Amino acid sequence: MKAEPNEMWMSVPPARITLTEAELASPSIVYQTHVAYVWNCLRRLGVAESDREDLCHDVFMAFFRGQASFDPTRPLRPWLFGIAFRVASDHRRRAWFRREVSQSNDDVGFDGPDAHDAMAKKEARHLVERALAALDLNQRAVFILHEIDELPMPEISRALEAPLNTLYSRLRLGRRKFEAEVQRLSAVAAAPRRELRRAGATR
Amino acid sequence: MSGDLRDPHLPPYADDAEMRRLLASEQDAPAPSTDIQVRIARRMTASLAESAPRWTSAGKLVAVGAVTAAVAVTVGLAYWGWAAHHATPVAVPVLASAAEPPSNRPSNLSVTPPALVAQHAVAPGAGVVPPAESADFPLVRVRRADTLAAEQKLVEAAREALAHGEPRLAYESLDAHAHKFPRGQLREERESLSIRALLTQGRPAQARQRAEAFLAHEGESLFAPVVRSMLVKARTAAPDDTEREP
Repeated sequence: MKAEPNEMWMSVPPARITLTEAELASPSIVYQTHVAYVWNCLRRLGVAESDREDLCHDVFMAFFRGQASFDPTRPLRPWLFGIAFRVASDHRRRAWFRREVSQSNDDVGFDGPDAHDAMAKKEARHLVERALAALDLNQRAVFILHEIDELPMPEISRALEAPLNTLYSRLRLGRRKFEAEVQRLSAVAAAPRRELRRAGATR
Repeated sequence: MSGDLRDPHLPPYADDAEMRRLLASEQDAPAPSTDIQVRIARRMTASLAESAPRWTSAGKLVAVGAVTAAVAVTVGLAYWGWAAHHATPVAVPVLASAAEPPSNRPSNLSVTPPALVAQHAVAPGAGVVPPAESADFPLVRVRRADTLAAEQKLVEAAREALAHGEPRLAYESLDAHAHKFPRGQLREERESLSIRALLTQGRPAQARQRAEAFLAHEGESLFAPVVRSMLVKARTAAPDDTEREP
């Protein structure tokens, strides 16, 4: 069954996505309600799993230290994404950045009646992650915020501090690249199966 | 998020349904494991404590440690639940401490300042950590976590009450916290919520007094930004000092 948009944050009850001003003042609440989001943002931005823990820490620390400049009337997630984007960009620029496609390590047990569904979702996530790697970081950021987080473009413009027209251009390019990469990866994955069928037919 | 707010003018993908299926799978992405969450919380504790000596008083150092301890204990409690569920030994990492570097990265954040440790040792109702345990590894067991959990329960109750427009109930919880944990680890959060309760009750002059007092002593607190914003509201509502309540 397809999840409704509000049910999509696994570890966070929907009511907790938006925090009150008082809750924003509590690091424990900010951390608990958004750690999964920040973690997955970094993964989608191409941060390898071995570095993700460090960078997740850095994102929250940057938020807590710069919280005074956060407007509590605005949604928190785009703000956190903006920080994650800058942290991931800095990380890429460092000489020791290891260019690798991160591997999802979804600690999901595939038992029970939903096992097939869970496995299918994991495979889909893996495909998305690999296709995202074809986009440069700027295209990837706007693509993630618009296509996955489903944010409106003006909100994305505020989060990434970039002009709207520039972001539309990046999004169009990103969508094209992403779609082409998904098709390519799907074709590559299907090739061995085709060969197997062909071999079976000639036997 | 709150519904699909994507731009409707963008063209659909060639196989739009399949692309939507793939992208929706990302919205179900799981959280990092509990172990990872606990490790990150520990490191935030260490990082904030490390930055504290640059601030202006030992009290602020203690306050930062207290706030970040709340992060760690809450995640630690979640870990408890997870550990119990998986029938593994219960050992809850509550605070980063001197024994464990916060990261494999080169860092100078590995030492928890003594003032932070001292505060925890004298916190009313705090349990005593067995020496062998505290010396070997930063694991603090049931009683320490109980104290923090008890503090957090009262603070959470106050926050909930405020969220439901019940400042009187919030006061009850905050008073109980002040009585049980006068120098508790969440006392800055308690003060912040008290100021909010005063504002909610329509007592801006008192809110202003308390906010000014808080900022005079805890101007570098993590709660300072939110207290400042409340002070602005209080000053707007009660601009004249002469209007202050007794």
